[in-house]
Amino acid sequence: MWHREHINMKNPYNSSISISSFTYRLSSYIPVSTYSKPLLESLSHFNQYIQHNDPISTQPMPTPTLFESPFDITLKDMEFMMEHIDEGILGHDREQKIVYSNPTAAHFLGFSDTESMLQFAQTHGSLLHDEQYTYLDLYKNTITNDDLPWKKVTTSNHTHESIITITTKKTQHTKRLHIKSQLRETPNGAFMIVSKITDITDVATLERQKDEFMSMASHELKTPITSMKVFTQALQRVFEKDHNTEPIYYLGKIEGQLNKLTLLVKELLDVSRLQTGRLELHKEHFVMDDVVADICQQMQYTTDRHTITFRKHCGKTIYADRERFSQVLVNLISNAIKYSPEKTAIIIQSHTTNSHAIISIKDEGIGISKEYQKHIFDRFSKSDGDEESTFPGMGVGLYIVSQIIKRHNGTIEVKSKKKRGSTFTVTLPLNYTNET
Amino acid sequence: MKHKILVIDDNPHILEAVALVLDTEGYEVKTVTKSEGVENEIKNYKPSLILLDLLLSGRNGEEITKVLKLDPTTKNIPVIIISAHPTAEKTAKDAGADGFIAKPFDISELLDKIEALITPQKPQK
Repeated sequence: MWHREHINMKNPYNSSISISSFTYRLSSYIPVSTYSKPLLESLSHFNQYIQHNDPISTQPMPTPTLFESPFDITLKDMEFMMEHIDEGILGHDREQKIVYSNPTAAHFLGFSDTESMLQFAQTHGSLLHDEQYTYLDLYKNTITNDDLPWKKVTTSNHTHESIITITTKKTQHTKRLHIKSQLRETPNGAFMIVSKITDITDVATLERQKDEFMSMASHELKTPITSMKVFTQALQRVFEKDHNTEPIYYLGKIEGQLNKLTLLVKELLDVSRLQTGRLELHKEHFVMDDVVADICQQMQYTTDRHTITFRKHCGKTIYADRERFSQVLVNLISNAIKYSPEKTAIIIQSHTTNSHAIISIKDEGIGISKEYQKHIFDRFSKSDGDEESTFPGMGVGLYIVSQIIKRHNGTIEVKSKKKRGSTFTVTLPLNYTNET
Repeated sequence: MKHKILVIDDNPHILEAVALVLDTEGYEVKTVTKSEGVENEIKNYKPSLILLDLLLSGRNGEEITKVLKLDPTTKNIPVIIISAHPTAEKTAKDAGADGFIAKPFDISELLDKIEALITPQKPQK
């Protein structure tokens, strides 16, 4: 039943390491790991442990012996590791048949052991035990067998991650799992979907507490900002009546900074909500161009140097969160303004295909390097070129934008050349149903 | 006669700031920091409009609005809910409020919303 083979290769420590891969049950391969020196040393612990044939013994661990590399790891060692690691490891072949599972994976997915999980999978063609459990995604939508990450990688041929909440119907006991699946080629040329399952229930609780804290903190911050803003504007009105321009100018500066502070508070809260899946969307039907035209006009008021033009209207009604959609546009147009200190034209265009509404925001500004384009939608990602580093911001704006679009099942991409400007293109599906 | 506006918020600085603006604009203003006994306050003061913070300590603005909108003597008084909570607009709408303003707000936005709800006569300036 077991088959093994070894490949020897050099590791960064410049000593030879051994990779073992072996087949189990349905003669496919389980994940392959490379063992570097520190891990080998700790493994020697377990090796002696097993040789004593007393894995649950309470007697003190034997004194570790250092092994010379290459260390010939036995199949038994490997099996022991797989059974005792607190991460679930699950292997599927390309036909979605389970070819390996360690006991932790079975426990995480709500089965008493690997055998009963395999049996269930064989009879039901799924690992979701809907009679006993409810399964929800991060946004509280019920998930089906097809939504599981290992199902997704077969179609898209890459890594897929998701967070799943499993609730026992009887007891309402909940656990949250992070599942990451990857399609990998095994040394013998077969393909295997390797999934790693981590119990993040405790992490999720911490995240929720952090989110609640952020929510409270942002509320507390907004209260003094509100009174400062009202006082500032009230003073402006008083001076306006007296036509006293100098104080009005400085009060305008204060107000501008207060608006900036408001935006920062809002962004921090948004980031926290997006991470915990608690950013609520209030979708409605509206004519996309109306909102775009409105935002273009509003943004034009913020700049004297740039000309914002809205061209080629699409005229379609979309089903989206109007406020969040506006936020996306404001953010992209603000960036276009911010990163075009010398050029003036900003062009917004909208059009549709059969299935999508497409809107692009084009500037002729400083542009974005190829390297940075890869990370531009990451959280806390900030451009690091000499020229760009002088632009302020927390590096969360485009992360928020991309996540809002993702929540609308849309996409965003950037095309840019250094010193030649950038074009951000947002694509939103038109065939919205009423799901959130 | 001046229009009367009752402002309910548990933050005294916001109350002072809003009162300053509304007073300058020619409204008569009364401010209240506590949510207890607010219905009696409303019945006695007979405001033309109520500005109400959503998250008051004690009873919240949502609950107060629902009570006001069920009472025949107060249901016609326009209520604008003010809140720093980003998702409060829906809560305000569902409670029966006539308007919503997110904190922090612009004075012009506040004044426009008040003016739109207090009709037909314009406040004396």
